[in-house]
Amino acid sequence: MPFNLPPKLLEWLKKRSPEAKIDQLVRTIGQLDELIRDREDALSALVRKHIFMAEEDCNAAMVNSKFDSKANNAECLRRIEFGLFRLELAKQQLTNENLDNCRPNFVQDTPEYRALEISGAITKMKMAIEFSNCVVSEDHNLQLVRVVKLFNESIELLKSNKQEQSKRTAEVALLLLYQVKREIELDNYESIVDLDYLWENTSRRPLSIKKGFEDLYNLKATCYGTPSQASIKVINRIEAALEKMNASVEAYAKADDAVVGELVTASVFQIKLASESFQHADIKEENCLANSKQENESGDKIREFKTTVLVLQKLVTGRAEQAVLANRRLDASLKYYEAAASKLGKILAANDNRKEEHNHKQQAHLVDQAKTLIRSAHLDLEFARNLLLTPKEAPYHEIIKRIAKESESE
Amino acid sequence: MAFNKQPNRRHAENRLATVELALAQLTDNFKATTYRQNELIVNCIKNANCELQAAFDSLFAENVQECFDLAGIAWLYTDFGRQILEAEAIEHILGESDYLELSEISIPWQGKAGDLLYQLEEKIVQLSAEINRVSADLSEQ
Repeated sequence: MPFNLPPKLLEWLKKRSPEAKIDQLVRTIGQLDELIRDREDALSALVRKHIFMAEEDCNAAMVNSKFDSKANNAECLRRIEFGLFRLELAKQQLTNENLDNCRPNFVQDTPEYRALEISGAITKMKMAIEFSNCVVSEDHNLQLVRVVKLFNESIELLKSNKQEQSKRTAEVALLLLYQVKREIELDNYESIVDLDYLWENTSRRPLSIKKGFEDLYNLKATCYGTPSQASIKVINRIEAALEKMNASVEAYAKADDAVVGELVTASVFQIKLASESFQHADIKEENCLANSKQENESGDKIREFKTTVLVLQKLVTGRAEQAVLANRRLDASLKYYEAAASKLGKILAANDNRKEEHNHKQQAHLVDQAKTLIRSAHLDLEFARNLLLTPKEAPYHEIIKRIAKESESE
Repeated sequence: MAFNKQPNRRHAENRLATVELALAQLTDNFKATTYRQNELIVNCIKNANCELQAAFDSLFAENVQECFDLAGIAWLYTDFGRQILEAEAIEHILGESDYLELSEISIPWQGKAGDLLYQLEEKIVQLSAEINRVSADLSEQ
């Protein structure tokens, strides 16, 4: 008497055969198609995509079922099962069952959680700026774009399983976001958004950088409030501290923690000195103030020029074909401009101090020097423009001729 | 569902379903937006789609952990895109439709570089004019 399998087991075995499974796949496709008929929304489009992919799986399974080999059979079954899985997924999405409970909820202190915090902070900042109609300069806008780029970078690093680097990149993004927030607030004389909650779970190193920025911008804001008390000495110290703080962020990005510590300490010291100078500002000497005013003005001009050069260099680096050469010309132009502006500042300060009678000749000499320097700055800028924007750059001698002609006509 | 432990296949499937649905909704809402087509959102959708496709491939290769992680990454892009879309919708309805651009692609570098070069030239011309003025004053004395 032959051995008889129980009927339920027989049925199950039948279902395990590739043909039966293909049937099941085709039937499910039909059912789902029925469910989304006449629907034109996001969900139905998604389900249609799944149906299309399941049909692809079905075709691949049928091709494999035609070959009677172990490998083809296994591939056939795998394709069918994946097709069925896709359709199950689509069904689940259609009924929307329990999906809200499955929203990814990342554990605190993970890079994913930090990335979510950054995206939230970027959006909050964007909304605050748009609502309050704040003025955002181009360089601040570019810094915000850089923050978004860092957010993307931190996600890319996550993908390559570089968790620590990803977290570090995210922290750098937060530091830059904090910095640009304070800059925009200073420019607009108002507080725009509170992002303090972001620092609650930050590690010691980035927190010390953030604290440095905080002290620096607090002092800068006070100086903005009482500009008469902010001497050139105070401003120079603030600028020096800011340079160090920026360098500390870059060092942190490169995981150079020892340098970060040194830079932050040096910067905090500069801020402290600037703060003391600011509090004990001596405004007795009129001449000193006059000098300081002229030097301040020329300092402002130089700073503005330098910032624009830096923004331009950042913009063209990696984009323009001749960026390296153009950046060199821009550096040269900046140096000439700096020298010309400071010479002009000296001449004006001397004029204000009424010392001209004894150094008229010297001043004439300074003016000549300033003229040469500013012409050189113009020349190098023009050359940079040609390298960046003209497909085939004009020869140097032609630019010199053109500028000489222009200065003659001035 | 916060995960400290290794996710199983069910967890990965649920996450895939949720993220895919959220991405489909974002794509649909974005397509329906008439007032602005933000490049940043386009990129978020593109990146999320890429990650989701990779997550499906990982699941097909029975790599559950990778699938789970990739779906998580797709969520980060999707959620960012959704936030930006909602922020701009609010600005469109309540504000002055003066959007802050956060996407680099929309800033063509040549135009921007031309502007910056012009600004620099203006500064040089101004300084040059000041020097010439001082020079003229000195000559008069």
